Amino acid sequence: MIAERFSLAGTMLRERTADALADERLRGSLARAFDHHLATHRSDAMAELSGPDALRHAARGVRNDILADLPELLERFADRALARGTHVCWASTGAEARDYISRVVATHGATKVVRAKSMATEEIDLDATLAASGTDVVETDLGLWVGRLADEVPGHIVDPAPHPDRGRQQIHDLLVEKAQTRPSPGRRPHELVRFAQERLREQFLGAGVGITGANLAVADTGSIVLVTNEGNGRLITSLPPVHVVVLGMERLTASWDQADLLLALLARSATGQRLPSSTTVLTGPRATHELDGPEELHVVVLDNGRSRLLADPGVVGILESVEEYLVNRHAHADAPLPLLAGELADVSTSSGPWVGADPTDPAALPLRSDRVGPATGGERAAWRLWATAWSDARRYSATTRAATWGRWVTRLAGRLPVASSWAPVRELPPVAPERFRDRWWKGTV
Amino acid sequence: MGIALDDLRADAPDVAGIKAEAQMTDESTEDPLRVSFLITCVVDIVAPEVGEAAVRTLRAARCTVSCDLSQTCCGQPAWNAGFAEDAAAVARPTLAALEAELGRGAEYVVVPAGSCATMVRLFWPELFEIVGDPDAAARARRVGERTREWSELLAERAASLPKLRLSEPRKVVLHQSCHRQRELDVTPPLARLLGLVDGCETVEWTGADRCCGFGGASGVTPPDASEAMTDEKLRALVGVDPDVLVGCDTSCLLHLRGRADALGTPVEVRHVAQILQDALPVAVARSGA
Repeated sequence: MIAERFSLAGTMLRERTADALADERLRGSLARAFDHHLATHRSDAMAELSGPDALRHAARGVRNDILADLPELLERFADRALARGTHVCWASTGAEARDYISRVVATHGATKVVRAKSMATEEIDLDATLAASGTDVVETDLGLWVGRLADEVPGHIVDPAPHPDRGRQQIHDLLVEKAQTRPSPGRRPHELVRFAQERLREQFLGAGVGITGANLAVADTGSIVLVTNEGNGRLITSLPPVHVVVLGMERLTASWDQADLLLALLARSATGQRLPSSTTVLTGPRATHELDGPEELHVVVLDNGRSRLLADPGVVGILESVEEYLVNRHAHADAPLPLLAGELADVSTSSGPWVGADPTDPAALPLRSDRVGPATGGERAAWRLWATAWSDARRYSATTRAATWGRWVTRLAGRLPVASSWAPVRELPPVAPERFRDRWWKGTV
Repeated sequence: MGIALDDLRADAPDVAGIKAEAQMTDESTEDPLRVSFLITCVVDIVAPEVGEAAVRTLRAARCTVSCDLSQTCCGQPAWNAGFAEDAAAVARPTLAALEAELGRGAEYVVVPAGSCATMVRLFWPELFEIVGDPDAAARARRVGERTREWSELLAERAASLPKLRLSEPRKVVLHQSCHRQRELDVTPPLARLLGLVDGCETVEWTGADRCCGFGGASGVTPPDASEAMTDEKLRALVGVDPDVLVGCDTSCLLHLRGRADALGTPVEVRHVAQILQDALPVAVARSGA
């Protein structure tokens, strides 16, 4: 089944990282995509702003404020959305969200569902559930659609289909082979795009339900904001009679002022655009005097572990990000937030250094480390031992002498994931026979 | 919130840049500046020559440098690994040492590493709040306000430096480490300082602002991703072929050097202070005074 192949469940970040790192072509194409954006588009777009760093810090403040007020904002959002005729479902788990959406699809007797790239729907493994009940689920993001023809796990890289490095010829062959295209649509980019457009247009027109995530939601007006560059979000929100939004609950903003700031930074940071090609705002289903929009709008507010993350001061940092967490450019191991948090616990590391790879994070996330899982007893003991030694200058001095250093490090390293994983691929720096403090003491500095 | 689209327009001049330039012009007539040196554990144990170079270049810029040896480490290793209590325990004697130095008349604390300067200036207050010690947090804030990364302070003192000249011309590339870029926002001083050195040619390369892969705990916990990051950074040297890769974070530099040695990449890896020390007039470099 397609859904099984795409499921993130059952794999861990560590494995996906290893797989991605082993793929030289993927790494090459990601590096080109990132360098293109980082080196040109993104920095140009950010440089247009007056005081971009101040704005990024303002965004961080906004994200913090939002997280602090989240329960109140969620209530306000729901009140305003309901007042405009939107159905709101509180889903505390992925299963609750899946059940609700399955019921909506079944109620309308929809056999075909169109969806736009959304990590929230990947997170709850929605496609598998829908497919199991015989629903045809069609991805409408061009890059992802091509990726699905090649049976790939979707990710959240915004660059058009950089994953993997696939030339026109390979895309053409995929279309001919998997999408049963006879005769050949041609190999030039615009021919390939036109073919995809025609095929996807049929899907939009035939779908009973459209499913999207949400880039932002605005509590003041009960609105959903979707950004796309292909307009597929706009087609999903206007062609199928029913639209279901899976809203990760941390995507909320209080006001349009806040949304304005985050949108300005989001597009500039992600793709170097001032604004995405399409920014779609949905405030309730189509009203009687309106020409387009879905007849029925459902917003599934997804918790699925987020409130647990929020309650943990060590992990809140992960939720401060403007977009879903991008682990790093070197290993395309993007994942939905709660899943990622669980996985980071598995590698027993932290959020900070991962973000460190990206000096242009749109919310200027601090470089810090948040423990997201319990430490092993050995690791805890090692840090305690270290702290005991180094919380006093004499003990610090005793443990850092060249004569004792080796023994001391061996004692710590047995418990820490340090020397064993670092050393094999690198040359360990030798300890100086005379420390700085010795030289200072002797007056030779 | 109150941020409107009007605020997003680019029409304000770069005020910070102008201010920094103005500060640099009329230094030479001032009295020596008293600064206290935070050694940092990595420099102390593994790279004391970096500490020496940092101190001697500060002295060459008419700073009087003191160093309180009751300091240990800033606590960053444990903080990076998520162990706040242990980080605070180690940070306490260092906080006390720096506080005492400021009390004895030091104007600034100078740190030869961007990540440790970040720890003191930005993360200490948060760390002490987290462990429930608001008193230490308040003291840390006061110390943090007076803490400067080495290149940041030296660039401000540039007018007091003697003529800098390398006897043998060197081609260098910069490593702008994450904390210096993201937290301290002190990337310009590096190029400015190296620009003062006759015989030192700084060349652009695509790896300048990329993480070296050390990244606190990520250098060791997902070692394969870290290794890939380091390798990609080192690969960017191909075709640029500098003599030296320089930066202001010894932990990054050791990490890069370790991997470069293992791969046989022909590049020296040094702290910027070492380049400047090499470029000092011989008498100044030796006596430091």
